Amino acid sequence: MSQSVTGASGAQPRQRALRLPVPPPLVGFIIRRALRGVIVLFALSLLAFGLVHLLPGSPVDTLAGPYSDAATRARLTTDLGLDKPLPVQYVTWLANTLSGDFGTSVFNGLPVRELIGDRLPNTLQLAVFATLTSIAWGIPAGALSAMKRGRLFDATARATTFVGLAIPVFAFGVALVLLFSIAFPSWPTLGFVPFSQDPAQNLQSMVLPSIALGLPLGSTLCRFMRSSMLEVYEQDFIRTALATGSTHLQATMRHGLRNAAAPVATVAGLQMAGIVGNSILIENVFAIPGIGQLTVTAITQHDVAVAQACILVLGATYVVLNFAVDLLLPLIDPQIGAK
Amino acid sequence: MTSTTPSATTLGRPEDPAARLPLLDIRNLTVGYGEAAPSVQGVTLRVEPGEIVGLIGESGSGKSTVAMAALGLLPRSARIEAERFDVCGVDIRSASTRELNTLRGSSVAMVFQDAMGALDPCMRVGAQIAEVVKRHQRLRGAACRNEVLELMARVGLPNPETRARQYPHQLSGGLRQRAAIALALAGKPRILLADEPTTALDVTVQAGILRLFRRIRDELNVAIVLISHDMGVIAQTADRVAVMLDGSVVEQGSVEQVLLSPETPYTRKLLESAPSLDTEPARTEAGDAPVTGQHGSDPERRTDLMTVTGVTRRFRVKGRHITAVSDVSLSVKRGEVLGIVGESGSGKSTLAKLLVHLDKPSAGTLAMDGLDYTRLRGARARRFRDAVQMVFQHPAGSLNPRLKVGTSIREPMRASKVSRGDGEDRVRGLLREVGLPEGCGDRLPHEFSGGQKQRIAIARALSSSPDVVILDEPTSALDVSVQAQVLDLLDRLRSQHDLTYVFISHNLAVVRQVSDRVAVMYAGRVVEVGDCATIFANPQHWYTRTLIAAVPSTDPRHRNDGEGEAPRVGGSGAAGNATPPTDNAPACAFATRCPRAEARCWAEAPTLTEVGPGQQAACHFPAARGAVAEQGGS
Repeated sequence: MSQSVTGASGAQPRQRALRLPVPPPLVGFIIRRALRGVIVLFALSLLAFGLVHLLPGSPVDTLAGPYSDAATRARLTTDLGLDKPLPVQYVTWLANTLSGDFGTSVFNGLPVRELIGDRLPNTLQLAVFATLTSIAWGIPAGALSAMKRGRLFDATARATTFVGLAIPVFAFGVALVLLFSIAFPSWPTLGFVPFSQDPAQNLQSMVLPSIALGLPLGSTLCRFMRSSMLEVYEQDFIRTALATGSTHLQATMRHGLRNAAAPVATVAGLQMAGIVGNSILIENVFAIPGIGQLTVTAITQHDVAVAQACILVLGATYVVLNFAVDLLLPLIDPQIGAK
Repeated sequence: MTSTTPSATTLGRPEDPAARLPLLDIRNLTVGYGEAAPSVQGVTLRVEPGEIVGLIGESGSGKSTVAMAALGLLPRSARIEAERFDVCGVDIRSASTRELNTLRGSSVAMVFQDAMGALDPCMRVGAQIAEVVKRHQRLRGAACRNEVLELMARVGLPNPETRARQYPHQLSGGLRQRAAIALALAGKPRILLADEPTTALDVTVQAGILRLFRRIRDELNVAIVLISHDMGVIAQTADRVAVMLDGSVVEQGSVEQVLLSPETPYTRKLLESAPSLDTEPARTEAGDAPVTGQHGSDPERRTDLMTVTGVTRRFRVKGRHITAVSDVSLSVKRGEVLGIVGESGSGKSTLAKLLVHLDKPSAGTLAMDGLDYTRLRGARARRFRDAVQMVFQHPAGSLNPRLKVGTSIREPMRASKVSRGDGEDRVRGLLREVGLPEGCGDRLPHEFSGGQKQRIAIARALSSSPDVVILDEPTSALDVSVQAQVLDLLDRLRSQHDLTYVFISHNLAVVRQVSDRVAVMYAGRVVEVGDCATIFANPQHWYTRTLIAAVPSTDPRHRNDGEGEAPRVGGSGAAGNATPPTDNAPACAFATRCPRAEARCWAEAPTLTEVGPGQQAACHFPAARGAVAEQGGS
């Protein structure tokens, strides 16, 4: 064979000598995404700190009560370190947080780490189950909808997703609770059992919240999957597959799904924000002790340390989940990271 | 080249009586959609085993529809009527889905224009070929693997083991098309339908692919239907030709008969409007301009208008420096047409962007009328933009689909503060000038054909009364007859408005027809520049020679059959792409492909030096003067 432009024998030694240590594209891609996550987390810490301090009122009001005298208030302010300038407070807080010390709740005196540690698994469990629910119905329904374009299934799926997108998550949750308590009175509609206590009951109690959270989010995925599939059907490589004797189903399974899935995976990643955010509402509806509940209580009670830590942890969860999706993307589409 | 073992192929089936039947037997085929006029009407076409039939015609003539119908891949809404429609003995009209699935791939296969799109981007090339091998040859495991590698070697993919594990985006355009051909051959078909298989490729790569098609026919006895709009491609490859116009075959016969002594006026028109390197460039308005290709009649007026000095444009892509334009010095003289030719990746479009100040050079200066505009801002930059306008390749993409065309045309006037009434008058005048109805400024771009859209783009470029128009592949997306009209229009506008053109194209024949001077670019550098006639008659740089030799001649008697004709170039698709060099390329970027390269070419970069009157080449060992390069690949 003739030589390629870069593979010519004479150029080889020179190229080796001058080559800089450039990481392979995929590693570079992952490093860039990880760095981006770190930067987002840092910005988030500023935001969490700033927001909590911008809220009207202060933890001193909560602790001292409305009829306290000025001396008590001044003592409390000094104790909590609130008399120092904000940048100093921020740096102290950040340093403590980085070393794993989130402080203590001013409200009940418990370490924040413990408060969060108790609730984070519940929230994560809910988020993961809801994501799985949304993927489990959204992706197949979207793909099937595209395959059966214009038929009854397509029309039904599209009507369903429309409703799913229009209903607010908490309303849907409340409706589910009412519906289930009438239809299946024995089903544990409300309340939560930790996994460590009773796995079977825990899973049972997760069913309704996961559906409440996952079904509406799956509607978005379903819509994206459908349009993504239809786009892929227009592509030349599907025509190539058909021209080499694939049946329509074979072409869809081998070449269609994976190509359609890449853009949908990105959307699924972005939806994580929705899941983490909506879990606050769903936790309240189903009385699940999670981070969402804790955050809301902490903010209303001016529990600065808890509120800051909660915002940071929720944000970190989102960043980590998104990073996980970024790691999955090159597996689906080999062009990502190579461009 | 790869060794070929006829034993492993479907050579012949000589005793099979079916082998003597035509592979494609179409009589009076009509394909229509709904109430509209049928897109294919009364087509009769026979393809015998081992024959290459060229199907030529402009866009919308129904060539592709015939091919898709033969695969049974037309949408369900299509109405197909025919007296006879047999493909490899199967009647397409009554075939079941199951019969069609067996037929596709194992008897008929297809190669499409865009190999990047035709291959699944998420699947390794080898796996895609293996899928078809498994389906039609029922091979598994090692046998399947070996067959895949053998197919890849057969179509000229170097290092099949490595290539099989790569994804389509990791291959160059030429290699990708070879992989697509391997995929088509994987089911051992008896007839191959190739729809514009080389249209998206560079001319040197195209030469290799066309040779591959002929080799496949010779070695595997596969019949090929080659669909193309390019007379040269057909002339170089086909045995028989059918010319299509508006869904009908207007002329059919042997390639010599149709291309050398065409019987119908349409075929004659097609042949005339296709610019070719075989004939003397005919000025479009024969009476007006001398045939020598000289434009501006006053020699003293031909002063430098734009001067480009040592311009370099580097991009940093993922830690690697790509030098798209490297130390280019050029001058554009007032009133001339400067042609810039080069293959994809040669930097010609980047240079165009620098010329119109859409991008800033990393080094070097650009001057217009002696005024340096490299780093202009504000009012002076605006005045510059009025004076230099651009026309892009894809008229559809360069016009905002939601703006009325009149509004688009007015846009460049905004800077010069033309009043509303005057502006409307000017738009009407411009539309008339580019040959469109005056009142059509109220319509949207999608209501126009491709050629009309390009006319609108030209009107927009003229609306600020520029001195220079940069034309970046202005006719590449157009059919030949439309291309001829647009070139005609450009020529007329140039003389009426005293314009200077920089005409960028990969199409050498077109550049030769329109240019006064030509600059040849390779890997970001100008390797040869000079008077148009001199360059084409007597190219000095080896790249220019390679390029000119690779242009397929429209004369079927001048076939470039010998593999050694274009040394080390056409034989492999790998060599075809002029990749912009990274920082550590050889000194002369063409050295890797050059038949004349010596150690000096790796060590020392050649600079543009005078090689003859009005001709400069950047080569240490320019071709001997007087040894006129054989043109058109003869």
